[in-house]
Amino acid sequence: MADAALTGFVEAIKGLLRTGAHSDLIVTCGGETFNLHKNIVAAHSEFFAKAVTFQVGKEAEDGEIELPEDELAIVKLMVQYFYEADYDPKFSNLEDRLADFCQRCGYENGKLCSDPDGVASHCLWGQRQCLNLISGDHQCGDACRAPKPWKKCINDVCAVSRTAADLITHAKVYVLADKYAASSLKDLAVDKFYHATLYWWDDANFAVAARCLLENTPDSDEYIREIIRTTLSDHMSILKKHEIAVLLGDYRDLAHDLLLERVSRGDWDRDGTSNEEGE
Amino acid sequence: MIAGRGRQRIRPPRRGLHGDEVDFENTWVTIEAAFREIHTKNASRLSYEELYRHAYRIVLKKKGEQLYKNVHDFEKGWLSREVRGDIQQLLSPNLLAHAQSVASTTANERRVSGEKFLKGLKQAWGDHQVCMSMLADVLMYMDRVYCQDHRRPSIYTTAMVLFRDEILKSPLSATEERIILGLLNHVILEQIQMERDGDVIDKHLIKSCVHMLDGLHADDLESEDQRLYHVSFEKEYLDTSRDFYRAESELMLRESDAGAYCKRAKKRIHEEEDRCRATLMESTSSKIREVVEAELIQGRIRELVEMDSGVHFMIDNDRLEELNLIYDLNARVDERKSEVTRSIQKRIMELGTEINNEALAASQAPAPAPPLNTDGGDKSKQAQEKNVNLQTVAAIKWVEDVLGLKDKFDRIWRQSFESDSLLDTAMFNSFRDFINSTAFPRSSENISLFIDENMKKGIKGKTEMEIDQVLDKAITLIKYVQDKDLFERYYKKHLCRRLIMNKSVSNEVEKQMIEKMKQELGPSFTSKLDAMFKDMSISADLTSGYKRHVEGLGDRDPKRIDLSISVLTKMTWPMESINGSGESQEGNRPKCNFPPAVEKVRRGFEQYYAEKHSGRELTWLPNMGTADIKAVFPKVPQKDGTFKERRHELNVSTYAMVVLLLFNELPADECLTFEEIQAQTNIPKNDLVRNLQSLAVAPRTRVLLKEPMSKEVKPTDKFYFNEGFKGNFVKIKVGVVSSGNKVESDQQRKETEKKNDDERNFVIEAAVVRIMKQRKELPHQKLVLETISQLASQFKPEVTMIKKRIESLIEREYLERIEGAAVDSYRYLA
Repeated sequence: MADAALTGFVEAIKGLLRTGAHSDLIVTCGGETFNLHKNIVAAHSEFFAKAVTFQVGKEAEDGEIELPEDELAIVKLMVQYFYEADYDPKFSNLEDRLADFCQRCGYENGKLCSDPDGVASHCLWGQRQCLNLISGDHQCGDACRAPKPWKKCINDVCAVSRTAADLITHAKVYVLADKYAASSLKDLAVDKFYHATLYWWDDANFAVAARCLLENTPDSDEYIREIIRTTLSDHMSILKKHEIAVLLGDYRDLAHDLLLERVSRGDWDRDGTSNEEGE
Repeated sequence: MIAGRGRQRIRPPRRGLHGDEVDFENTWVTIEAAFREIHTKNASRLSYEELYRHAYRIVLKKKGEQLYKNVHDFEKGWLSREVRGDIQQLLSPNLLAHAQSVASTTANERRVSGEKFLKGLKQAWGDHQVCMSMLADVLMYMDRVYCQDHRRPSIYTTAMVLFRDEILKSPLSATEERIILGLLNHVILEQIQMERDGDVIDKHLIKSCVHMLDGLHADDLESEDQRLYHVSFEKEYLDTSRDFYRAESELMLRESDAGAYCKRAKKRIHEEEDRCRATLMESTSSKIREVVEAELIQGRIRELVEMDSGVHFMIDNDRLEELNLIYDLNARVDERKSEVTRSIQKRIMELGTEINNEALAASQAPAPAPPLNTDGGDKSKQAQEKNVNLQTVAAIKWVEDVLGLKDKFDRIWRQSFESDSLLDTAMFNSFRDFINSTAFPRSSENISLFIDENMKKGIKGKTEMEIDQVLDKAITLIKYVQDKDLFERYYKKHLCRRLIMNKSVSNEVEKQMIEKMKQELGPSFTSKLDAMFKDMSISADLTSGYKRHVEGLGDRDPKRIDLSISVLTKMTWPMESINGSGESQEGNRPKCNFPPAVEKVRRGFEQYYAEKHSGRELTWLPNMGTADIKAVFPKVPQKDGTFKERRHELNVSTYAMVVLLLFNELPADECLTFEEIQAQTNIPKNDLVRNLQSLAVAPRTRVLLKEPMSKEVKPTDKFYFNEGFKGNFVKIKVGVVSSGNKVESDQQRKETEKKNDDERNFVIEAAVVRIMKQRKELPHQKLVLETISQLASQFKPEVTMIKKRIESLIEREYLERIEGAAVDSYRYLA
């Protein structure tokens, strides 16, 4: 689909939510009311699909679903996703990303623009190249003299998360999507969560978000567990943190799997001495 | 509308959820109460969200297994306590009673109680499915997480298995050993039997129950071949059907004729097809068809075909529809359709042999009373001619009968046998067999006579299309003839007479016939026939060329004789029929003494011809020619008293012309004896006798008077010019006996066959030499086979004949035997 068409399409669906036109389903949560559409929510979530057809349920009869035990803020994000194919915080637009990028790499926004080396004009404000650069497709040739630290930043800039608290938001959206069997929302949330961990692994919120996920998803959900494990494995230093230590204490399986992973990486099983010392 | 756009504050997750144990027992009470409402159809306004949330929470807190087990037990309890009881209520005593033996209950009673049972079961099954799909909706998270992670069947599937075990496999009652499933099968089978007997049954109801059986499996793995329908019902269905149709086929064979049997059988086959579609499963279709076909057709088809009302009867009475039915039945069980084929072939042979025998009988009919000398003469001659004519008529009747038979079987083939190619071949073979039967050696001659008859008379006044049909019929028959060489021999003989005597209605049609033969039998077959036509057209050119030549000579002779000539290439034309059969050989035929005027013409033409084609020798065949003569008879008194000279134009044979001209020189009252005439003309005796009979015996053409007056001509008979000849017409044709194409006498036929065999000897030798020249060495068997195949388009040589030819070729040192070869072999000697 052409970009313009896609944008127009999403705008049209968003309009349905904004105006509540043709609404045939009310969802209430935490005192708020959403005027929704059975077809749209049922297409996203099996739970909603069954709820609106369950023969002897009041939901089907009244056209109203109450979600008394869910957190309004998260439900709102889910609804947003149903109508926009994304939820906040979204992947930022180009300007936002660049601003963010510059800040993260220690450049001031304006400074980059007038970079005497020509790197900036070549790679950042040079529109097309910038896009390539930021989306990670950038192939450095001889002409590109971008400084080293950029490259890492560039790879991750597209998924930049603004605050460490986003870890918790994504975790909760994931749990809700799992509960209501909204599989594409689950995929998006897990993706956002992963990228957030790339920045905020060192933040106290990581342990909180990880606990939320471990607690509210089935053990068989291996992918989310792998993300948590890998983050820890990549940054073993945080094991010294109290909240991480408690987390590993509560989730022995995670500790065990982490250990195995470290071993399988090959830098721990060369000889016995380092192991003993480490323990 | 979403209230408050912008970012909502996300609460930090509550700690300690982990320890927040779910109260399973209480939650289950809530869920179970809802499930019970659903099952008792009392449910309304349940909160789906709440139920779903409870189940979700339980599973999330790792109590999935317990939930699964509780639901299972709940369903099991429900089915065994509530549903089973309801079903058992439906089992009326007569339903149970006749399950063992068909007791005193009437069919109608049984049908009603059976339907009640089926309805109840269908209802229970339907309810169960509806309820379980609702339960499955509520337990979606359990199915998705617990069942998948622990490789358990979904709760819906489990509940279906429970229905099988708790309902279908449960006993009919506390004291019964039989189970519901057995009764279900029995009731369905009984209903089907009722339908077979003509009752109307509730197909839809049965189909529902069948669907249930198809949806359940005998094992717990749900393997495809373990469907209850397949394992439990279908087998029994096929078994009972087999018994039923076996009995029915015995009854029908005893009580109905073949046609009715076929109709019934086909109806049964269709019924079973419909039944599989409307009442049972499509997958049974092919199996039940096999059963029905095995019982109604397989073991019966031979008996059916051979019944008094079987194929023989159907053919004789044109029962095309029944023939189609029996063909269809046969084709179902035997792709070669052997039984029908065998029977058809037998009948063709019988009817064909009948036609052959009739023709033989007609031709051997007792000859009419032998001619008497005292009798007027021409009567016996007519009688004799009549006899020959009768035989010709019989020959043509044979052809028409064979064509009639062919038409009849063609119609059967098209309308009843669906233009089946195997039967086409079989029928062709049967026709070929009786037409070429050794007991009936006349086919070739008869077919040629048939064409002859049509060429001379039959096609008069017919449209092009009709003529084409006649020609095609002839071709059809020729294709059956094995001894094509013998046919060619007759055809040439008959064609020769038609051409020379100018007997054909249309030269165009003659050529069309040849063209058709060329297409069907190949150009080698017609090359000699083509040459005959070529001779005729060259002769026409010669005649007109000679005429112009004579006119160019200047002096116009008023007494000039016009000559119309046919120059025939000796090798092309059948000399034996030209020379007159059974008489002197061509070589020693005496030369006829022509009268001087004629002799002059003859010389003139020979000279003319020699100039055009040097080195060719012309042999004159006066026995084949005719002449137009203007004859003047003296004045005789007319009715009105005047005297008038009479002029007639006589059309006579060349011999007759020669004889008549003798009398020109003779004074009116003088006579010539037979011997004198023969001496002067040198006409062969037989020819002379026949010509004198025409001139002096036949009453209408008695231009000469014979003394004594009798039918037979003796050497001492005297002949006078008949001055008192009276003719009714100016033009008079003096016919000579047996000038047309008639059927051959046995004597003649023997000669023809002998000649044919002689020629075959040459043809076989030529073929053998051709083959050996190419192969150099060849074993005996191979040589024989190859010779036969080379000659197949001409005739079917006998092996003994080939052997004799090989012997002869060895004697003449064309071939030699290879000494010491493992099998008899020959070598070609260059």
